[in-house]
Amino acid sequence: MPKVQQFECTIKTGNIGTDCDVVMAFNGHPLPFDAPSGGTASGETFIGSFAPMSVAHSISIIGPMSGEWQIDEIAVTYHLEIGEPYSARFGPIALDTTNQVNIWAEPPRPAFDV
Amino acid sequence: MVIGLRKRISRLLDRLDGERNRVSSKPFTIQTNDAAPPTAPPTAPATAPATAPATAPVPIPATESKSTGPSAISAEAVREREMVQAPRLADAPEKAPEEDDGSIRIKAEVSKAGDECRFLTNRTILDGFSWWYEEAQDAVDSPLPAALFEMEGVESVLVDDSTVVVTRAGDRFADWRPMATQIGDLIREQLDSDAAPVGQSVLDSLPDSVEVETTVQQVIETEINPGVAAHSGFITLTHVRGNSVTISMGGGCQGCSAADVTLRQGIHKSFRDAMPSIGAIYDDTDHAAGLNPYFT
Repeated sequence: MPKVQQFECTIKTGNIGTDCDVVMAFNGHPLPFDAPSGGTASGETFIGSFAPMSVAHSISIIGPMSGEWQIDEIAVTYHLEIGEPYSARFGPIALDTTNQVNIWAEPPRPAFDV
Repeated sequence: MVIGLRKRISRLLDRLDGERNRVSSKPFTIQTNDAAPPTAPPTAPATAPATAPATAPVPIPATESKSTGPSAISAEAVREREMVQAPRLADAPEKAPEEDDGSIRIKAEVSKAGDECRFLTNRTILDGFSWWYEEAQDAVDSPLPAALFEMEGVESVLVDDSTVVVTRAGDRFADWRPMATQIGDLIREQLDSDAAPVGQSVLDSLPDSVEVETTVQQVIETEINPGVAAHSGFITLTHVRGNSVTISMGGGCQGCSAADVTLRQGIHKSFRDAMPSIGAIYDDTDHAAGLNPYFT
């Protein structure tokens, strides 16, 4: 499996926002986003990126340290060491202190007409 | 005496106040060395209606200043959290199917592991059934697989309804396009000819799907599940179509890094030893989902 050089993540918050920091986990290790911008209050959009330069087995957004966080949409663009960048979009999900949401999507299988 | 009693009560109240302050000033962090499951969340459940109050306030002392970043949670605590999956949204609207102008269309799709390529055609090759050709001598009266085995590097061929799956030997990361283009030309040539792509001996050997289901279920219960139970895993038969079988892996097998080896070298072999006429064997397990995929 090729390494993930970088990924950018956009999170649109729904009705219930959070004032906790956005923490993601790469292969189970909690890490901050590089150069985060925007916000996670209700209706706001958060943008962050990270350059793991490692093989991804799992990438997730950790639920808030307190309270609930309702997310309307997560969009992620992955840059792998080989192949073109690709994106994945995920729909609504509610996070809390007990869970985390997967944001890792494997690259699309190469398909072509022959 | 009354004064003495007041003093004792006052001291008790002071001690209680001190205890209350001590408890409320504990920083709110997730324990890093706690092997026990996380305690119940101090929040409303995730299914609470959107109009419900967000949460009960969690006391965060001023000295903590919202320490909610990565330092507030350990890798152990992350692994104890449930992994949930948000619905995947389509990137773009599906393209309308092209009109059938009578030409043979073939799309090649390389597998995740890179060792096989699936060729989807707009022609039926083996209606409702599948057949696995392990080697060239299995394909003596089947023109399409026989022609494929003549190509250098072809290891096995699976025909499933309108699809042909070719496994190749050698470097799994090598570009499939040159070989796939040749295979596409060959499939097109065979489908364009008058000869049936699959031999009569195969058609005569196709089993009844009830027989397939019974046999596979028995193999799972008597051979496979007792074996994978040592790894807290289990296999479930989820679907039978003709002689094609779909299974799912649960428990320790779901997300296990050895799942593919178990499927190909264990499950495939057991099924085919019990019933050689079983065709395609698919795994519909989402190995990336769950609490700790790839860590078990």
